[in-house]
Amino acid sequence: MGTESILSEVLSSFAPELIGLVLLGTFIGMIVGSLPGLTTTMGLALLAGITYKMDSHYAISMLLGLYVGGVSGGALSAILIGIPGTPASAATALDGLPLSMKGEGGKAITVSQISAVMGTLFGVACMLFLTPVLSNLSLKFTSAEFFLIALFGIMISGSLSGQDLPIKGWMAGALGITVGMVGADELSGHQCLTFGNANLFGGIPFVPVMIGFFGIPQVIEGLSTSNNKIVTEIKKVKTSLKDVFQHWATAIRSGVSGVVIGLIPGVGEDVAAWVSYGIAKRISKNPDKYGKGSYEGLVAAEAGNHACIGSALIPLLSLGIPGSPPAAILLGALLIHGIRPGPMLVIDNPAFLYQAIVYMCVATVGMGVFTLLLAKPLTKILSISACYTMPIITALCVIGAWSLNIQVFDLYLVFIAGVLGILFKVGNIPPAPLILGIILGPMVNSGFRRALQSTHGDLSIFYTRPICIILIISIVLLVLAQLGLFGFIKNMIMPPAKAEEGNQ
Amino acid sequence: MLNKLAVLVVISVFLLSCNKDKKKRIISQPIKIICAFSAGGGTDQVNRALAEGMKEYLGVQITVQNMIGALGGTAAEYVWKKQPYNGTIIWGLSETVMFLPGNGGHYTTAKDWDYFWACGAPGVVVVKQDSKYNSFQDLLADAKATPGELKVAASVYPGLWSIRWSALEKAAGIKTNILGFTGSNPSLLAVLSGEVDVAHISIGEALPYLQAKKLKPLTMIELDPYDLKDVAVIPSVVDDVPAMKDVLPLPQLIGLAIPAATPLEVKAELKKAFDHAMTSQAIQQVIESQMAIKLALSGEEAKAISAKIESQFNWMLHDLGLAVKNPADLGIPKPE
Repeated sequence: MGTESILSEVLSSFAPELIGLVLLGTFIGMIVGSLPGLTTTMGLALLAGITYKMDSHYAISMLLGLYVGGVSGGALSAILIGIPGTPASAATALDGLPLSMKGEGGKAITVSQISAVMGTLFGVACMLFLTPVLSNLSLKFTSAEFFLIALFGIMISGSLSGQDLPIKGWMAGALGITVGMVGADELSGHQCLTFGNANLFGGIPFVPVMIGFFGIPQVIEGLSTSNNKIVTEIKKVKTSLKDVFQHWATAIRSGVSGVVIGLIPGVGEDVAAWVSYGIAKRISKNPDKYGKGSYEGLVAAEAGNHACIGSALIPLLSLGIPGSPPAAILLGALLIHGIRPGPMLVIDNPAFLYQAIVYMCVATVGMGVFTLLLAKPLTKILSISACYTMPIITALCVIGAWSLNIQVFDLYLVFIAGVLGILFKVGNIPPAPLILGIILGPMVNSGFRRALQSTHGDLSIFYTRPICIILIISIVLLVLAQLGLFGFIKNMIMPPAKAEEGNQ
Repeated sequence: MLNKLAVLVVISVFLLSCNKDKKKRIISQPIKIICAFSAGGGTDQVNRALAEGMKEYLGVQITVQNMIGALGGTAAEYVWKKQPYNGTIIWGLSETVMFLPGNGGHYTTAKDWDYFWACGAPGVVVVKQDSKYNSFQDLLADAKATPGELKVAASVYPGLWSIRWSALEKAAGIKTNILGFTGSNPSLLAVLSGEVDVAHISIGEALPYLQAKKLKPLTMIELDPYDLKDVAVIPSVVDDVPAMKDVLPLPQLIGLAIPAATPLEVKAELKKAFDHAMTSQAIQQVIESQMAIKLALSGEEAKAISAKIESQFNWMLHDLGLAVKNPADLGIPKPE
């Protein structure tokens, strides 16, 4: 296929009906994403089934729109009611809800969406220019690297502990790993921590736990407020691009983190958000504000998870290996429509990459416009009395958790996770590490053991490979920083009194 | 008077047509396929395509509902408990669920179900293009010379690919280091990254890499060779390991199942609907996308192959010390 025909195929992507379908997909995605329990992955799977008989261009344009919209929609419920609509927006809830409580929900939504648009466009730009270079990076990851990257993610837990001791974060992370290990072992097939209960054989499903853990404490807290309202006053705060651009360094750093995480096969937008958030907090000048309503934290989480969207498609399109769970569903849908991602894609279907980029850019613009239009009316929810909203939220949580697998057992999980969430709140234990542990626990476990199995127990695999060395150094520095060692050394060299003199 | 007569005629025609329809239709209520695996996966895709085709024949609404949990056991329990069995609740499954009896995931065995197997992807053994192995014989020779050293990516126990590789080890008298990966895609990544020397995966996943000459096919763990057009004719493992003739076929199976106690006329009607669905464009599309082989098995033939796989899976679980229940106690015969 010559350049001219590629160009004409790409230009055909701008057909009004295709643009309309992308925008429709984006809107559906935002609705799916904003409802707790309905994940982007599930939305994509259902739409893939419905679009069987459609023309491949129509189907793929809608699916890509839904992918972008789904990740962004999760932020709406995370900010407004503190319940992440999708796992990818769990980090957004940490700062989003406190901002809503201050009456700045509208501004928080706008800032998060501008960050999301920037993050998505950054990921798509990487997809356009760096696909041939970055796709090879995905092939450098073996079980040893997977173990260390997951360990790095979990060690961020200490940074997510607020002003309290890092050990509280690590403890919550360890509990998360334990929960993540329940079910059939990935390597041997042995049942771990299932106690003979068949409901646990496939592991503890993440979404009901997330809904219960974030949702139930929120409902209890909402109903126990004296004035019976989530927010007493909705401030008219003007939002400008400046609100995001003052955190430009965080946005760029999170964008890069999101792109790198997206390239790693099987690791998705949820991990990208947490890693970006954790790094931003560690580097921030105002780490104390994180978790209490920090716009910087919001920018980090949203730019990170959205940058991951484009980069997760890099290994999918160039290697046929999905970078995230939604990308895995997209792979199935593409195959049904006769597009086989992998090394032959550039030969068989050279225009596809550029068409996908056009659809994603349109979806990103649509996502921004839809949210800006919806931000104001949506914040009105916050002024409704809690005695009306909380029962509705509870019903949504229960239906959302149940609808995923149609299992009553999942409702028990919502209840148990809810009680745990309340205990965490009372004990001032950060919730984020637990969630991170559940997501990354299986990867730590299987990556470590599989790497050792491949070398017959020789540990040198973890420190003789270049990416492993970089990851080990990063983990050591992260732990030392969390233990305050760098501050201690700084004080040794320049005691506080001398430092003040020096400043004067 | 004329008006009354007209009303009477209309009512009579309506009642007669209802009656006629009732006689003709054995299944007249909407059908629900309870897919044991997540939405968007291989089983889900096949189930949805079958639903499309069966709907055309039966003329009733067919929906697919995903009910994951207990590695397929939750869906099995839901279908099993929905009595009376009238063909309106169907289990969407793959061969993976055959280990449920030994695993403790469900108390029924293959004799309790009737199966409709639509398709299954054949398995290929691949190495990197620059690998020192140029044929399966090279690989076997090396594995024999250095027992336990050859690193193999296969599915997690007790998945089909690992079970088949273990059967090959036994038949060929070799010992390898089997690393379990959750599916063909991670196994593919492992062989491309050099983490393992060889991978046993579905041919659909390997195809783009075989076409791009990034992977080399060594053998098919199937009874017959596979003609991969424009690439190569991949020989059958039986050429190098004749003892595998006794083990194979051990195919991947994707399809549907209903309790064996379902009335005969309902079973016959579902068989007709299944046969019709197997000729539909929807299933053809899915089979092509998965590079699968069309099976269209039902009745005794489907039951026999299911029982064979159940026996292989559960006795291997038992031999590996992973079984919760002894297959002998469940009435599952030992593989011959």
